Amino acid sequence: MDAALRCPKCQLALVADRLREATFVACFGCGTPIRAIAFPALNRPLRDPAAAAPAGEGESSCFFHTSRPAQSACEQCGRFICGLCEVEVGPKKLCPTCLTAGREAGGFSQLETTRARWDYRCLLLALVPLLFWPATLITAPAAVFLAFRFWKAPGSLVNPSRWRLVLAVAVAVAQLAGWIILAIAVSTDLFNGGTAE
Amino acid sequence: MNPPEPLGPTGLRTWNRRHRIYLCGDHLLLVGFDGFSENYRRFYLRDLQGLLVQRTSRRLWINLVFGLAAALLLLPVVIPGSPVEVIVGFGVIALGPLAVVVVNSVAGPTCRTVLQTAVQATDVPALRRVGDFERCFARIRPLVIAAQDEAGATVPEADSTPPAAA
Repeated sequence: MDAALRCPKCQLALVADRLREATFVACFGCGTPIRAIAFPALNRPLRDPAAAAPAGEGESSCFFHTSRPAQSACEQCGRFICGLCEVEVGPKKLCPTCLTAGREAGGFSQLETTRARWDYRCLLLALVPLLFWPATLITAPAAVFLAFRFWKAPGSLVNPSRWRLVLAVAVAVAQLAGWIILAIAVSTDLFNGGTAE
Repeated sequence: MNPPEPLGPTGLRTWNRRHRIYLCGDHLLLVGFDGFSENYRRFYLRDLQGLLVQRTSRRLWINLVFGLAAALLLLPVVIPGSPVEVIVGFGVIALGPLAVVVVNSVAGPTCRTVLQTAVQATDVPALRRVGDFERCFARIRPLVIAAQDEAGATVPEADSTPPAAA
């Protein structure tokens, strides 16, 4: 692919005089007002890790590609790796094996693409059934169970606070307390009614 | 590692998702939230080739729809002989759509922001107002330039002068 910014609407490559940081300019292709801002990386040639020369005699070679020269060492296991195998994960350079192992173990937050928000789920489970309160007999214990089951589960990457879990437990416990009070009141009434007869 | 710094407004919605963009050290983190889970997309500053902002007519359409609704609700005011209770009742209800029109107008023109790297061009639904984009761009521009200078790139010729009048 040629290095060029493209109109988001018609995909026409924008020529240099259309790259304006400060103003909107009509695209030549579709006439849409566009502001195109180019960064230095647009003109940077793509690195081709496969283009390296084969490893010479006496030169360290890649653990995975023995014909290729080593460029660095994996910061996890220490194996020599070439440009093809080197993967940057945050500040670290890793080999594919350590990358796979770390990903399976959930060790790299930089590689996560999704996270379950158990705090929201528990809070919804505690609050929404209030619209149909008899359901809280089932949902309140479920909310408490889920809150404690996933208490240590990683929360949001950007907002790791647990206040929603605390609120969910508080609301669910209040619902359970309400049910217990109701049960005591009903059983006391029944008991008193039974003795009166 | 620095805590994520929000760059755009909170809670911008597409039909089923809320979006927000954060600056996390050496990359931008685009967070989408559907009420049950979050998904993340990362764009490293050193890889950003460009940003494209396309004007959209969303603000106009929102103002038209809600302005029309407010106008319909205010019809009893102009119809002679309407009871005062009806005028007041509909007038109060019309405040809702009118508030939407005012807030939407004050928030500024709408846009679609696309972020381009060597391998993809991605919509950034967290930046859908030109003003939000300006603030975000002012924050990340020096960081992107610094990150890419470290990578030894050359600066492309970018024309920042206004276009000549047609």
